[in-house]
Amino acid sequence: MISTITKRKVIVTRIAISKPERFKPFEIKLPANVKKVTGVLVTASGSGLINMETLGTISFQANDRSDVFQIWDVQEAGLGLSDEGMIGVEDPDFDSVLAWVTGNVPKFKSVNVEGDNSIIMAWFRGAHFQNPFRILVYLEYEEVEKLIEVVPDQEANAKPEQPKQVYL
Amino acid sequence: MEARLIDKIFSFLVDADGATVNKKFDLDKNVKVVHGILLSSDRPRLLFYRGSQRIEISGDEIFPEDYESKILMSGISVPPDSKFRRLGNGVVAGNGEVKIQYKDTPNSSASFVPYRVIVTLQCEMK
Repeated sequence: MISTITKRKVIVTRIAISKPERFKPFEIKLPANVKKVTGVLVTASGSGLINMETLGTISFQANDRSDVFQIWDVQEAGLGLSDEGMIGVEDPDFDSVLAWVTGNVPKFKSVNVEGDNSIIMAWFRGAHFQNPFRILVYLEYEEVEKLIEVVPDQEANAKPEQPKQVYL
Repeated sequence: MEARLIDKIFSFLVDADGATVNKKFDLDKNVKVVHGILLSSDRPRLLFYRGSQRIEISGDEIFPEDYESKILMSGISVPPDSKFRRLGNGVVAGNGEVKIQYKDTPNSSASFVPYRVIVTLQCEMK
């Protein structure tokens, strides 16, 4: 029996936006043992950001120049739409629009980028700029399989097949 | 036979603006695998907007530095079984050491007051 392990890890890349940017490219270098990219997440934070307002988009492309595999709208998370808000119910004891109440926290989007990629190319296209802000790009990847151990099949060794006897 | 899952809870105080808190916790020796993680706080707004951490279990880095706490949070409206961030097929407890390097970063959306960070690990017991 052969036992192997496959690990998933995350790379975090920080991008500072201090002025209006029409096009800001950047690269994410992948470790050598990456088998495939499995998830992407982008968050934004800064002073004076208006919640849910789109600050721009980030596009991701694998370095073998295949099509862009993900385009992400950059927004600050925190507040959202709630059922109570939409139907006009006000409850002073229950703030239902908050992300840590509804559970609508930033989540990874699944992607599947296989191939010989050592760099992921990405670029930020700015939309609305009011104050400097920071973007965090999370890239989840799967490492190549690692061998843990090889265990001989004990059952087969313990009970060797007995030769058949045929009486004629 | 179904695995027996138990929640192990650890917490620490963040008492200074912009502080980095390094904590080490030990899991029960009967913990076999860690299946999920959840972050919460007595002041969730501060954890959401200001928190980031590096988490290591048994010497294995699970989340790198600058990994925002908001991604590991959930909400009271979420069903209990769905609150935890799943760690794939689980992380073997190994020597049972859990290391957390938590960083508080100033943010105008949440003014600093001392707050407590609560880390809940969903563990499979031997």
